[in-house]
Amino acid sequence: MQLVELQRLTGLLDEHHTALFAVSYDSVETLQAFAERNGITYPLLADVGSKVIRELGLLDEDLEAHHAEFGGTVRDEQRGVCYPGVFVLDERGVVSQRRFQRNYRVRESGASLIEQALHISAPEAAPNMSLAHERVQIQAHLDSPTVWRYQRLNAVVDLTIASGYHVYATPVPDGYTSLSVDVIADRAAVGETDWPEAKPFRVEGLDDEFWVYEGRIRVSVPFEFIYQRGEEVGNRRVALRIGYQVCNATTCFVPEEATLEIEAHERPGVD
Amino acid sequence: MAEVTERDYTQAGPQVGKPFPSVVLPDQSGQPVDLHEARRGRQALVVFHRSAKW
Repeated sequence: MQLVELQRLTGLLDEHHTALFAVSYDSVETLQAFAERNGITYPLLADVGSKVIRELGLLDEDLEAHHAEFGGTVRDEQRGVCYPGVFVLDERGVVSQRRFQRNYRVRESGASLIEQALHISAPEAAPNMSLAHERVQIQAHLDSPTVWRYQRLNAVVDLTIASGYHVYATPVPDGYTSLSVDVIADRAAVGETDWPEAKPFRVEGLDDEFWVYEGRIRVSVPFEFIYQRGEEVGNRRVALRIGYQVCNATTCFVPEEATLEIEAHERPGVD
Repeated sequence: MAEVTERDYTQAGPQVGKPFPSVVLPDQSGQPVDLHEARRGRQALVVFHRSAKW
């Protein structure tokens, strides 16, 4: 959850002289219990009665439309809930950025927020897989790392999606991003992607049926390098651009993209 | 049917370039916190979240 992820990054925020506050309509008791359970040390502010939320114009007045999180029925006590988002304030306390998503279910991950809003990279982020490693691990390889000229190759992408989360497949409803794998190479002919089987997934309170991937999945993209007459034997590079959006039952993170580069070593000779 | 919002919430709240208003609210320990004072002249992230309960 975003608040817990941000706690893990408070050291980094301190180093960068950045304060952190959370605000919600929860009671002090609720926030105290949450803070204790999750080891939260930064201020969780209790806007009981939603006075500040209302004053700032952040009251969510469309709860019946935003019902995926409520499981279909909005309780009276939920009427004061805010529309979620983040303000970035500069040193003078002036708003320098607003980060609100069009889709009420979508949240930026803690690391993504810090990276995008403050241009601070969380140290554990690996360069190509960047901000995603907490929920999705991506590995890619060519099914044949040494290749004959004109060989049909497959770029194989293995995704491991953390338990409790899923990634959208197609067809995907408006506003969501489905898994995409693009092979980017100089002079290559790319074939039809072989997708794993998706599972149907229903969100309580929403009419849409989603198709999702869970757990460990493999996507294969067939391709061939295109050669020119007289071209010398050499290595070829392939980049795989993977786009996806991770969600759990109630929350979606912003769509992410990762690019992995692979080298294919050409073996001399003709098959 | 895809979720349809009546309002465009991406524009809700204080706009870029405007001072963030004064906010004084109790934190999880029950102590009142004046947000701008607690910032101590630093830049800040203010995260509005739905609920810590659900």
